[in-house]
Amino acid sequence: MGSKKDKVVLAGLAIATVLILIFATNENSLVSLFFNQYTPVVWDEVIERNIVRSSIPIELLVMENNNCTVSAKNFDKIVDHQYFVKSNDIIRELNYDRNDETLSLPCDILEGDKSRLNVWFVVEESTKHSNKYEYFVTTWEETVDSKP
Amino acid sequence: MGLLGLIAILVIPAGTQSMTNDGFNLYGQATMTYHDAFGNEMLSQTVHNQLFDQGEDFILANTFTGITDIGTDATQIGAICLTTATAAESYAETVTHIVFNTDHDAAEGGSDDENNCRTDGTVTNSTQIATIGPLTFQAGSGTDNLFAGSTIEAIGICEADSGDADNRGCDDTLFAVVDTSDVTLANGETVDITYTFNLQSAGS
Repeated sequence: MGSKKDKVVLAGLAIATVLILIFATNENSLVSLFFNQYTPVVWDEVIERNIVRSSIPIELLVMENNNCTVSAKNFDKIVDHQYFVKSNDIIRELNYDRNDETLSLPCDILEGDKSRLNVWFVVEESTKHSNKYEYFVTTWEETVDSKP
Repeated sequence: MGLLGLIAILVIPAGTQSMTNDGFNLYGQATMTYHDAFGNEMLSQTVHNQLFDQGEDFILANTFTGITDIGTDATQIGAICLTTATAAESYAETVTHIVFNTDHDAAEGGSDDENNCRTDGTVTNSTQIATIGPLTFQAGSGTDNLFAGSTIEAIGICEADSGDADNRGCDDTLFAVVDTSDVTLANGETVDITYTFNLQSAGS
């Protein structure tokens, strides 16, 4: 009897596993929605109007092991934007100091003494990757505004 | 049975359907680049706009019901206006150019002699994307666009001035508003602003 009961339980678990594999990958399932908030942004899935892109110059101040402190004047203008719902997360992540206008970054992502810190975030109204953000560092070049 | 029930709840659609972009764009956005008085870039940002009722009516009038419903043959959207009014960050789309101007006047205080609007005399249309700018706004006094120490709270996209001149106030049509980061301009500091309106469809 016990053996038969065990087989029933195992069969049930196997069926459940198959169901999960088939249906949980549906992007609208609760399972997917739960895990989606922890996955990186797939920018191709977000329509252009739902992305806010900002960038500032950052300059190296202190290098300690692989942790670099950089000047980040005007970073407050990025994080204080009303559309940036998760701004406190990036403030914590980068150890942003409002008074000193500095933040911390791994030294190996900097592009020389002066770099461009880019912060992109998805607005709350987006149906894909809502409120997520990413930051990345690129080479410093002055922005040139011109007609296409 | 309980486990199967739980799994069923987890895998059924959560009720939030993905709204697919059916391949049609209709949006505007502004790119603002802030420079210090020495011309050094301090911040660059691109933000989408909120299209206002006056703007929607303008589009429909020019496309379907004839431009005489709005204005003369010379009417076009081609001006970018700065506002220092905090209220502009949360305007309802029913707000008109009159409110936009009144609020900016009140926020700026003092004598209203700064021309907060600039017109692009060569608005372009390329691959179904209209572009206004880049236009440069400077903080100072007298002949500049904002008093030194003013904070840009938002950007208005407005009807072009007939003579392509800088002028005080949004003319007749508040097409859209862009809520940018708040940027305070010291004397001699500038912002370059470009506005694009995208009407592309898939395959174009």
